[in-house]
This record gives sequence, structure tokens and C-alpha cells, in this order.
Amino acid sequence: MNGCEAVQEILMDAARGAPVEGGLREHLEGCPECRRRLENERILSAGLAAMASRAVPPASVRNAVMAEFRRANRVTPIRRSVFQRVAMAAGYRPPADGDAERVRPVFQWVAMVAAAAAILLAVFVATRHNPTTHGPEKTAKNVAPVVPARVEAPVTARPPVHATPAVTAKVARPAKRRRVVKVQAPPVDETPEIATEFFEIPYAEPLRPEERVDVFRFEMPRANMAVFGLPVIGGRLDSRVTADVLTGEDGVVRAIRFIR
Amino acid sequence: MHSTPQTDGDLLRLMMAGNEDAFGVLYERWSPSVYRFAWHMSGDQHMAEEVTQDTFMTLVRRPTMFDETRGTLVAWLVGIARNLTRRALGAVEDEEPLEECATSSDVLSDLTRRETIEAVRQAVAALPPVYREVVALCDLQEMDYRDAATALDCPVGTVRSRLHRARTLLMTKLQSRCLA
Repeated sequence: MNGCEAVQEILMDAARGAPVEGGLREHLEGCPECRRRLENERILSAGLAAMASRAVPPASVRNAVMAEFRRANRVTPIRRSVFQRVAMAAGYRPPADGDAERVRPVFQWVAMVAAAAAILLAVFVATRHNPTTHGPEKTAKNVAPVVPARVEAPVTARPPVHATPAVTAKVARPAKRRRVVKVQAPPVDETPEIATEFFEIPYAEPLRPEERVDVFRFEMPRANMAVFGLPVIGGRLDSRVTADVLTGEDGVVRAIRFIR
Repeated sequence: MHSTPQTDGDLLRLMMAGNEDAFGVLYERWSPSVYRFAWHMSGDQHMAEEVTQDTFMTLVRRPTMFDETRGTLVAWLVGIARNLTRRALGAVEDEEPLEECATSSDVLSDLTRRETIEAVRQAVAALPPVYREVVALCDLQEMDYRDAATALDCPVGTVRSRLHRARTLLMTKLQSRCLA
């Protein structure tokens, strides 16, 4: 019968569940050959459906791909210099990897200089509130009574070179309030170390209650104290000075102190 | 309380942000389709496992290669599995010339009564890959023509015509088996 070729694919669709409509219906009524073909198509579909598998891959495949996912998404901590951290505290946000637009170096320096100025301001205000001190190293010898804690956050000291009991370090805030943060004491040396108070970085976001903080100990050229606007006392500019930098969970510097 | 089922797109975005649970849901949702396709194409369970693993490794490593505008995620995954399977099986066989054969007799209906599923399985396995893959997708996994076209990287019309020719070949093979 004429038109059989034209309906062959439509017959297949009908056997796979498509409705038999107008033109095809009329053709089938007059064509026993295509009716037989449709019947065979339906039988084949049933046979294929019967062999369709419900198998699922074994658990070992799942374990392998999940392990790969974890490996691929392992978080790599971003290492930042103390200058970057201080600059971030002052509002500078470094561009993410792959960003098309990079912040020009001059703006980075402006942000860092602004951060240094902020620390200078903090030191200036702190020393004005405590007239017996003349610099960050001397303030440690004249520690004022600790103000009752408003926020206490557990601290993980890094790196904990020696296991030492936790101490309470006072974080001096220039204008508004004082915060008491428990920190792991730095390694104890034969000679007792003298530390300044933690100078809170102005404009940094306040720590949340129970926020975990980290303390990083650095050694840096003493000249860097001058960069931050701090007086350089008792040492050559090219000698090293130890500093503890306190960061929040977001890695932003909240306070800094210098160790002698 | 029922949680709202998340679309593949939502899950993929979560996955790309590092959400392991989202990736787990995507795996549970689509790994059976990938696995069965690879198994039907290769006839080898171990190869199907390897292909499934490599397919999802590709999703983990290069998820941005998936283009939502070009098709569904499962079609993309099956497309990867198809390439991996073909590579594993060696050179792609040329399209086998189809010997048109009348299927006008009623032997097929006899076959379904007398033959087992194994007969159908063997007939499918004996198809040239270009037809076997379209049967595996459209008939064995009930994938629609559009997704199959995405997976096979060809137009929808090609999928439909290949499927028709594949089914004609199957009927011919089953018929000859029955007659034999």
C-alpha cells in the first residue's frame, strides 16, 4: 500500500508509547502489513523493556568518586603576609584567584599605609590613656588591672611549640571597650619575655562571642615597627623583633602585640 | 515533611561550591543510567564500572564543561560515558550496512513466547555500536530523543532514524534466530 515507508518511524513511535493518531490510524485501517509491523514493534518494545537492567554500580565506584571529590575540594589555606593581614583589617580585600581585574599595586600600598596609620593612631591613643608608658615595650611592665571580660573566645595558639598553660591576655581598645581574650601563652624561654598589650586594630570587625581566634608569632625586622609607626627602642633597625598577631576565624587581623 | 527535590542545576552549583552532599545526590541520581549504558555498550561489568567511575571523575574535575543550554546533565554524562566506552572498546566500528528485511511474518510473536530475554540481549549485543547505543539509550533507558541526541552529539532526526534502523535489525536478527 502507498505511504507505508512514510509511516515506518511513526509506527516505531507508536510502539514506544506515542498515541496512534489521525493519518496513521487511517493508514493502519487499510494496511494489514503495517498493522503487523506495529504489532512486531510492540513485541520488540516489550522484549527490550523486559531486559532493561535495574543494575546499579557497586559501592566501590561510589567510594572512589567521593574520595576524588574530597581530594579535589580540599581547602588550601591562603598564606598572607602580616602586611596583607593588617591591610585587610583596614578594609583592603585582595582579589580572588582568577579575577580578571587586579587591584593595582599602588592601591595595595595605600591600603597598607592606611593600616599602618591606623595602628599608629591606636598606639597613640593607648599611650595617652596610660601616661606612665612611653612605648609598647614598656606598657607590658605597667599592665593595668584586667577589665572584666566581655567576650571570651577559645584560642588555638599557632604554632604551639611548648605546651604552656593558658593565660589571659588583655586586648587594649583605644576608645570604646576592652576585650579579654584567652590565648595560649607563647613559648617560655629561660628569660621571661615581656609583651606589650594586644593593640586592637581599629575599624576591624569585632570578634563574635565564642569566636575562635588564632595567634601567629612572627619575627620581623625591627624596622617594621617604624613602618607601623611604633617607636623603635633598644635595638638596631636591622635586628629582629617578635610580634604576636591575633586573627579571627576569617583570617583578618584583630590585634597585634610585640614581644621582647 | 518532604524536602523540595533539587534540580540538577541547583545541585551542580552546590557541588561546584564544594558541597559533598550535592555531589552525592547527583551521583545517586545518574550513576545507574551511566553504568547501565556502559554495560549495555560493552557487555562487560568491570568495564562499565570503570567507565562510570571515570565519567564522574570528569564531573568532579571539570564540571564547568557542562553547558546547561545544550542539554541535560544526564545526557552530558552519558555522552562522556559513550566516548570512554568507545575508547575502551577500541576503534569505532563503521556503520554496518543495513540489509532491509521484511518482518512481515508472525515469527516475532512466536519468539516472545518461546525465547527468553537472553535472545533479546544477544541480539542487542550483536548490533553495531552506532545502533546499540541508540537502543541502549532510547529503549533500555527510556531516554527521550532530545537527550539521546545530546548524548550522541547528533540531531534528533538522526537518533530517530538510527533507532528505527536498529529496531529493524533487531527484529531481523530475532526472526532469523527463531527461524533457525
